[in-house]
Amino acid sequence: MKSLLLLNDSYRIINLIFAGIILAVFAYSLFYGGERPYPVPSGSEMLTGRDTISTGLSRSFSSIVRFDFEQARAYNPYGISIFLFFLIQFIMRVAGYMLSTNPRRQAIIRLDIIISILFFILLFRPFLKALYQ
Amino acid sequence: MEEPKSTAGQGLGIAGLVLGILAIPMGIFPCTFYIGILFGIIGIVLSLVALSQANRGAGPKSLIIAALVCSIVGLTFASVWGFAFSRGGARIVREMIREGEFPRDAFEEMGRDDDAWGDMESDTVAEPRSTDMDEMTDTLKALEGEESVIIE
Repeated sequence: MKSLLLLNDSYRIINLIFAGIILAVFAYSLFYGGERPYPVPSGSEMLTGRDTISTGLSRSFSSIVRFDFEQARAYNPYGISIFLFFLIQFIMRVAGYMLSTNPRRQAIIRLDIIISILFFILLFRPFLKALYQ
Repeated sequence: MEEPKSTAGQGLGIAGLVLGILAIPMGIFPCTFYIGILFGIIGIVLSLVALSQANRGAGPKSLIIAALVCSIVGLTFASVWGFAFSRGGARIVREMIREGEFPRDAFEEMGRDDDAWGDMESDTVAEPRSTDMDEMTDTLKALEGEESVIIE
């Protein structure tokens, strides 16, 4: 089993862990929200009593996994683009895991890094811009 | 015959990587910065222990280094928020204490005008003023060096 999964390969392990974490985030968003309150309280709200740029992000994710995009935008205007980043990352991690035995592995890893950074800049830019303003 | 690869430090490295990957988004989002700090610190500790195990057992280090980098990045993002909120939180507490000591109603009862309250809020002391016989008001600083007679 271990040889089948090739778990001695760091790139495969990283892809597997990352994909698992993103899947867990999606499952969390699907499970909580709506009727069920979120178990993780907002630290910034606890300390300052004020809303921040990330307020409503969990609710926005919960709305996205329920395909309610209007509501998602209402909860947090940056929720959809951030969710899209994680969705693309999930697809890339699965693809990376599958392609890790490819003979052109080094080129695939380099391409993976470049695409991930570009998508991060593209999809997180409005959020980070608003955050650090 | 190929020698089997050592897996020294890999278990802890994977645990550190999970925490490090989680620490980055947790640290970026202000609402979950405290989780980012916690995951970042634990991730760094696990990665360092894994790194020492890998060094001793000649295990692969690339995954452990990735875990260490992710944990440090996550902790850095989270610490920026922690610092910002601790400063912001301290300012709010200071404002609350000040409001408790100098309630607006009490100032109005004492016959002080709104300008005086405004000066208290902005942490500056109202500059002493003087009104001369022509009903011209000036600050005492502006009268510096001039001869003045004070009439009570």
